[in-house]
Amino acid sequence: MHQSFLIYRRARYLKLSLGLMILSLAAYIADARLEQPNGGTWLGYTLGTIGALLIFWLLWFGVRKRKYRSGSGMVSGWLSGHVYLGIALLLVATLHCAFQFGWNLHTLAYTLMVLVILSGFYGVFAYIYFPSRLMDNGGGLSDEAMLTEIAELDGECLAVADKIGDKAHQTMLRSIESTVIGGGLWQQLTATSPRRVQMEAAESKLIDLRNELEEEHTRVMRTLTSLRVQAQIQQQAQQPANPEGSDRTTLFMVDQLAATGSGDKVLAVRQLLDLLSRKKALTARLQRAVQYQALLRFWLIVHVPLSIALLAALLAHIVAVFIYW
Amino acid sequence: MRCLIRTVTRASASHATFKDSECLGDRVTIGRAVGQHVFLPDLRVTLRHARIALAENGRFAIVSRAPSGFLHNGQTTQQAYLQTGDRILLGGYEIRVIPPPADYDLALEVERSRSAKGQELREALMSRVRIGLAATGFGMRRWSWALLLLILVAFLAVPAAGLFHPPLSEKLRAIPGLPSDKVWDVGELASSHHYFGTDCNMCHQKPFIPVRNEACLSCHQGQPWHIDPSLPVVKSPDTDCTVCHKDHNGPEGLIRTESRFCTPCHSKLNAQLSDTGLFTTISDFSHTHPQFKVSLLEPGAGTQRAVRIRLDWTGDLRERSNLKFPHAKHLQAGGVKGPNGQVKLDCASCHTPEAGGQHMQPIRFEKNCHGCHRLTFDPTEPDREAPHGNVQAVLQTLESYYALRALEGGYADPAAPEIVRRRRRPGEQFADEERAAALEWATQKSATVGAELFEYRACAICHTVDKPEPAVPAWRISPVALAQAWFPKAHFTHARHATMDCAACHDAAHSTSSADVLMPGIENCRSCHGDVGDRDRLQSTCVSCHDFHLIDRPPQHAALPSPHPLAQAP
Repeated sequence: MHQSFLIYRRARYLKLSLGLMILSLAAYIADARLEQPNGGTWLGYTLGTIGALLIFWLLWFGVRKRKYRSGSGMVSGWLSGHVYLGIALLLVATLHCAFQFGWNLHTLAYTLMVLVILSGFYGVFAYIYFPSRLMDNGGGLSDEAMLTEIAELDGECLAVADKIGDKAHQTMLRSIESTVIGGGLWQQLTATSPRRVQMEAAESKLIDLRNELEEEHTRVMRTLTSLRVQAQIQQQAQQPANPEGSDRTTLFMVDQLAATGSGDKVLAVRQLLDLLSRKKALTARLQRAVQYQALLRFWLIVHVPLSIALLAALLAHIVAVFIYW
Repeated sequence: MRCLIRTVTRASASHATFKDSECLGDRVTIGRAVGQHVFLPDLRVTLRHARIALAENGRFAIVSRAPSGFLHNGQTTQQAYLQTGDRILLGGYEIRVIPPPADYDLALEVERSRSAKGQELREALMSRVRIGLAATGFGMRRWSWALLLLILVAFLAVPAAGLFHPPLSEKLRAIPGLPSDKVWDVGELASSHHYFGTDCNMCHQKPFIPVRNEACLSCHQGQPWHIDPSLPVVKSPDTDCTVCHKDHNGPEGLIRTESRFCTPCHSKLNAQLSDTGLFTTISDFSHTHPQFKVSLLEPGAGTQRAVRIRLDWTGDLRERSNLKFPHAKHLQAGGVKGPNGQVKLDCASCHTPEAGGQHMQPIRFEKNCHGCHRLTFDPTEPDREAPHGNVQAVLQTLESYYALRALEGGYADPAAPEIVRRRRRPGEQFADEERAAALEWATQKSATVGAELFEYRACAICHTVDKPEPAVPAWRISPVALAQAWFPKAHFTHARHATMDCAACHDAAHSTSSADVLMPGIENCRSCHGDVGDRDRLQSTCVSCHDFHLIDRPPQHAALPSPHPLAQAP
């Protein structure tokens, strides 16, 4: 059965982390009664050593995660430890520096550490919140399947638009070609690709076209109806004299026109609008899926490079402190 | 124009079939409509998409009729001149211009570039899809490497380079914005070190070696030792200045005042130095600090030697000042009788603090006693006084005074001879016998008055007076030995205790003898002062009262005796 990393092995790492925090805090308070606390006292060195070891261990998670054949415990156990000991690190390092900050390398290392831990907090939230959202949004469809369906809808749209005319075909083609999904980081995070604008432009053009066609259809039908009425009157008047005459042909032509002309186009436009709205819904869903995935993972762009920067700053901090011992 | 249109159908990569058709006329039409010369059944191609015609310059030109245009050798365009080898891409089709066979003006090869239906649309869609963070160009690996290198170079490598080449270090420090060893500064220096604050190497002289004493002593040359260099202390506190002095703790944070820097040694000193008998075990103020020792002057011939005696000594603890001064008598509630009537005295009448307020000014006769204790000696002239402080001067004063009175005459004393009592008339001359008698009287009188002054009336009231030989009029006043610094090993400041009543520490009101030692014991201090951590009393450390660098020790930079452990100190 699936067990959240937050309660891995009955929250073993939570207890470990709490223990470490309580111990550090107690030692700090006791020591602060004896001397002015800072990173250079014996407690300062001890907390600093614990903090540095924690950082190295937390960084090793990045390596462990990528080693699928490692025998050193489950990744979910490592993640549990990573999260809880990361929280403990925030306190241990703060007590190590004894709230002394300045414009120097040491505070740079601390700031980087805080940013890494804060981005990690977001990561924990994202890993708890977004996977179920993503599942609900997808409704069983993978990104690939959604893309395939969108492509098929594009095909159908073009086929239908082709029946309407060049203008509709061009509009559809432009709409299809401007369908952009995802994009840069900001666009993925906010789901704001220019797709919507283009698709709405196409839709409004199609609605105009439909209205135009409907008007034309109504006009044609009215003309045809009056023609038909005229033809029928004439036919009735001339029936005995010319039973196979030209008026019958007129009547046939009028019926043909009424059956095929702009009425079909109106139907096609309606079909196209229907297809377009299906595509719009599907694209929106895919965009949301892309957004959730981006929200689920973008913090890593901060977390990982800054943790490497932290490694550099930590090494520089340790070396510098002992150069000027 | 005669144009060959060759349609290529590829079943597999190695097998293709060709279908040739011919077009005669002034143009070749391209589109999805039935009847176009080059028929391209692709939904992205419009019905009549483009046409090829002969241009005025004799070349063939392709012109698009659809706004979407076409790709000509990879470039989207509306029109282009054609030449052999050109490639036109329209939807999923590629139109290649091939060398025309004989009798043909133009030859085109048309091939559908991708086979499955709908695949083109999907591929076209995929080209506009960017999903996943990897596609955004924010490569974590690249950023990680960039930040790693930037930090290591700017915050470690460049500042460290200055260690090997000091001129570089100076340049880096001088130019703002450049990474120098200033980025390693862990906190503000003590204000006394601010003046060289930018030069880290004033103190940090060797990389990876903690700050050494030599760095401190190069400026602090006169700083005396804490312990007597001749004492065989195993671990001397003088070996390492940084034990007590840690900089970068802010303007006031240079001196560490915690008692735990003292007690590790002072709680064991009597064991370490048992043969000296100098030390007791002290681990705190509240319980183990011994009773105070007062420093009393021991009267001696010519010199006065200070001896330190514990206040709880069961022997005869007396101050032998050779002065008679009952505090109680001077402080009585009704006041004392002065020359101008009753005077109400209090402590401040005589004890005034010296500048700075630490100690009290020494008591002086002229300033503190003379107001009441007049040195008059002759009732007929109550304003005339003998001088203070010099026996011979007193005797000479008396002799010359009475000689003058004898020779003047008119001295109203029935015991005096007639020649002294008789008033002189102007121009009257003494006979030799008369003169001798008058001076004889003056000598006797000054001796009598002197004995009275020294032995009963003036001097003996306060001083111990000896007269070694009764016949000779020469008295000796025992030298006054008033203790000036009662507790020379501690720095007590009266000014900081000004809110207190004097009587809280000094029980002068009940002291009837100047031999009483009126200094308060440790129990008196303990009623207000406690150790660090004490909740009810003022938290005090060793250095609240004691100095570490003792002024009676030699300066630290002086050469050390060779057997001393400090001589081997780094």
